[in-house]
Amino acid sequence: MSRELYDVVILGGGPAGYASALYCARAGLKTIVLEHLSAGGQMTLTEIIENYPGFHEGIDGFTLGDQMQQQAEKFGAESELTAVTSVELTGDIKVVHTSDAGDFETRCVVIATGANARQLGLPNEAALADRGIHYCAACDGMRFKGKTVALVGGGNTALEDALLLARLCEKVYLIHRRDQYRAEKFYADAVAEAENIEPVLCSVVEDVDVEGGFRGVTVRNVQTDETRFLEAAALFVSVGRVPNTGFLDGAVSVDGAGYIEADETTRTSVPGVFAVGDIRTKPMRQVVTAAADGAVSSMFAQQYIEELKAK
Amino acid sequence: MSKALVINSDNYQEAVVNAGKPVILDFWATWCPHCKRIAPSYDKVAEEYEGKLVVGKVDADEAPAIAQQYKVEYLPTFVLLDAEGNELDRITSPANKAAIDEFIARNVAL
Repeated sequence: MSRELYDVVILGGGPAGYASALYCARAGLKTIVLEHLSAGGQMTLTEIIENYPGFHEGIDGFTLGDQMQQQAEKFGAESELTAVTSVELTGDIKVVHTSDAGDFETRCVVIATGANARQLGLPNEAALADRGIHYCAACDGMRFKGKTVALVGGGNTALEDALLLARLCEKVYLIHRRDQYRAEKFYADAVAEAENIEPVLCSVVEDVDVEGGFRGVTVRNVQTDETRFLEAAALFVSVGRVPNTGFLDGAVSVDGAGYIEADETTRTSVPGVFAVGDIRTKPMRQVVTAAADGAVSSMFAQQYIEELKAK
Repeated sequence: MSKALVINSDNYQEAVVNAGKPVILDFWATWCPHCKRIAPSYDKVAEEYEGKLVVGKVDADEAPAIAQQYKVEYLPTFVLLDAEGNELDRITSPANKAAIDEFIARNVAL
């Protein structure tokens, strides 16, 4: 498939990707967003976003994503529903290969592919997502108010999530594979003081019981091999996040956790390639910081294209 | 506007049972995030397979009897039927359109 050269091809249609598209399009750059699902990225999994400025009553992530897409398209950005399979990022003209929409040639690539919650690897886990297995305590905790839930994980985020759930729920089983948490002492102390958090240490999740609705979790003690059934209305999984960089095949520098190394300019190790939103090394991953990255990337993309044309 | 055919108890017999060609059914619900995220991909499937495959979607809350008939436990579930209405295969929560294409290609020659 032969098509015109783009100034900017944006990989991923979450808030970072569509903010970049909005600013790039308004700057007169020929811009397209490649996204394999509906717009919005991870925020579509959030029923109500209450911390994005301007929506004082909150807005659901799906609607916000859709509106961001419409806003960018209003100024000329294009969208293509397709999955990116690989990229060629060296050279002045970069190429993005897709599953079913052919190749896209471009001067700049903005990587906005985000990160997904790390899964446990249970059978049917994907199908149970949001139906008993949950990855965001802050998003979904309210749905289990007054009930008993289980949470798996041992890092700062996991313990923070456990404390949040403990404020809402009757009881929280906190499952961790080691005999002590990886989280900082501050969180571990707070968990120890919480009366309704029961630590289930040295244990891993073996299975979930979904007979006639989510009923609970079977855990196995890794030291004794004994199993135990924990009755719970939901299992929250907080075992880290996985940045979506598989298709890059090492083309840009990443940090130890796999996030793309880029500073506040969003410039990566490869000229003309920018990283925005959750995929980038950064201290805080929120919708508002993702959108901010998108705006910044447009400025440096313009600068790069001007330099390229002046060559 | 959905490009997939909305299947309910009124048109099920005619559109699915008497289709005379293979059918794919997407069981979904309005409250299911992945169902909504995959919907644009499914619309594209409906466009691309038009005439060769009946591409239908069943709101499991609106048409619970059909969801029960196919013993749908998870959403979204995609069920593929041959021209006689026999189930060939099913998948739950495909990652994207490429996964749906692969699922169709693996089961029916179109």
